[in-house]
This record gives sequence, C-alpha cells and structure tokens, in this order.
Amino acid sequence: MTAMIVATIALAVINIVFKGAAPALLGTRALPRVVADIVSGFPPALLAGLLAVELLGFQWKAADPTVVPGLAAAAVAWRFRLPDIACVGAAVVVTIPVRLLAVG
Amino acid sequence: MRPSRMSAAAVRLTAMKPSPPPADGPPGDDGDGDDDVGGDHVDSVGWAGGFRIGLGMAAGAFALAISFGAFAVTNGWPAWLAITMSLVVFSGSAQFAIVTAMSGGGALVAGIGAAALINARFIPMSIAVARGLHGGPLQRALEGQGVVDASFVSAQRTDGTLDREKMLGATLVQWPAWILGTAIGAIFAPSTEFMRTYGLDVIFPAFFLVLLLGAIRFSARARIIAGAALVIGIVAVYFLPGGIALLLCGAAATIAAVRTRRST
Repeated sequence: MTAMIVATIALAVINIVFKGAAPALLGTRALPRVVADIVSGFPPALLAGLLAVELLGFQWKAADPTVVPGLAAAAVAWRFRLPDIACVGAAVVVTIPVRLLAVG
Repeated sequence: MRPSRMSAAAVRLTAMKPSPPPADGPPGDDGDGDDDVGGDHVDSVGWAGGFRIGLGMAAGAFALAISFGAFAVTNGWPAWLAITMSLVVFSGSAQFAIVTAMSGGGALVAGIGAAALINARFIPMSIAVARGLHGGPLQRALEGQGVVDASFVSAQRTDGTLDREKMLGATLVQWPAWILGTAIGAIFAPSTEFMRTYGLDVIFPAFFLVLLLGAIRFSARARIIAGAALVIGIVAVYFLPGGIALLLCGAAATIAAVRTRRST
C-alpha cells in the first residue's frame, strides 16, 4: 500500500514538473524557427501514432478486425462533414452489430 | 476493451491538428466558411470550442477511465487510490503503465521510471504552448497542466500559435470525465467483455481517426509526417510499450518536419 501511495505522489509530481516547468521558465520567449517547425509536426505524428498504438497494442495483441467497419463508418461520416462526436457515434453503432455477427 | 488494448490505449486524449489553409486563404481559414483550425466541422475556437470538442474527448476518456479503474482494482489497488491517481495525474498511459509495472510486487522505481518515460512527451508539448499562456510563472505553470494530448493538438492554430482558451476548455471537460470514469470502473469493475460488446473500445480510435483526417486534410507536409509516424508506430508497438512507441513517432515527426520544411 505504501509503495502505491508513493508511486502516485511521485507520478503526480513528475507530471506537474513536465508540464509546468517550460511555461514557468520560458515565459513569452519565442521558440527558434527550427524548433517551431518541429513542434508543428507533432500533432499529425502524435495522432497517427496514437491510432497505431490504439488499434494494435503492445506486440499487436489488441489487433481486432471487427473495429475496421466502425472506423470506416467514422471516415464516411467525416467525409460528409458530420461533427466529430457524430462520427464517433457512427463507429460505435456500426461496431456493435459487427461484433454480434462475428460472435454468431 | 481487452487488457492488452487497455494499456496501449491509455496513451491518449484526442486532438486535431491545425491544417494549413489553402494557399490563397488567411490563417485559420480552410476555405469552408468557418474559422476552424482542424478537422472539426463547426466553428470551434476559444472556450466554447474547447468545451465542444472536449465533449467528444470526454466520451472517450470516460470509457477508457472505466477500464483503468477496473484494471487498477483488479491488480490490487484500492479504489480510493485509483481515483486519487486519476485526480492528481490525469494521464492514462502513465497510469496504466505504473499499475502494470507494480502488479505482482513489481519494483517501485521501475514503475515510476516507465511512467515518467511515457509522459516525457509532455515536455516538448509544454515548450510549444509556453508562449501562449498567461500570467506570471506560477499561473503559467498551472495553465501548463492543461496540456494533454488531445487538447494540445486541437488548440494549435494554423499560424502556429496556441488557442489557450480552447486547450484549457477541452481539458476541463475531460478531467472530470476521467475521474468519474475511474470511480465507476473501480467501484463496479465492469468486465472488459462488456466494454467490447457495446463498442466502447472503439471510441478513442475513431476519434483519433477523425481528427487525423482533419489534420492532414489540406497539408501535404502533415500527410508525410503522419505517414511516417504511422509506419514507425506500427513497427514500434510490436516491440515496445505504447507510450514509448509514441515517443519514437515524435522523433520521426522531428526528422520529417525538418526534411519537408522547404519542399512542401
């Protein structure tokens, strides 16, 4: 129990420092151009990485083909310019029957 | 949601990348008549935009948090401590990592080290947002706590600046959802099969996909970076835990960003 409490406190402190140090220390100073260019590349990289990690999992053990139709539905909904939350809803709605069929 | 996906999944919290506008359009204008900055299809800026996009993120965070709460209790953590961790840490990937590392009497230092490594991605993110925050050092450090994956990406404007209110708004919606989901998961411990049967495990990947489509919609450079990161992520996650695989994706982005800077 003690180790778990220590771990929680330590992780909280580390997180606070990681997120808070740069804003506190850098202030309003502008980033060098090259750094700004690199930073601007993070969002698409992070999203693509999150997608890969989410769908496959460590050692690809979470790979599940039944999510594919749902993701396709989300992409189609996005193509028709539905709000993001509606696209996600479409994915869930399509995934449920697909899995029922897969089980059956 | 199966356990293997739970820990991999943990690394998130949505987003939407600022797509560069058409060549003849002003910053923030993607040509569709609104002033969005990414894949969302409605006006979404400032606090209202943050709250709006935060709702979608919160749905995914809530579902994942249920998994985390159940996962932590199953691995011997008291419910109150799992909930407290979500309250003070609010980082799914790191939380899954530390519970996994310490399960079965695992080493404390190793668990903390793994979680810290996974969360190291917040360092460059906080550097990126620093200029857009307000107040003195203490307030800026406090606002910096609003950096989570999804909020960070969704708050990037097309001109490279930060929509501070949008980032903080999106985070403020997700945080209580994360805590509430953890509490429900820790107390009721729903089965992973329940999460899977009702498609709750598809919420986050669907959201990431939609946001990614928005992010690469108008930018060849973003498409190259996303493609490189996707390939690296697919390969890396076979050998490495999700959080570390994500770090490698960031490294790929760094290389791709520099190499494509002048060519696109």
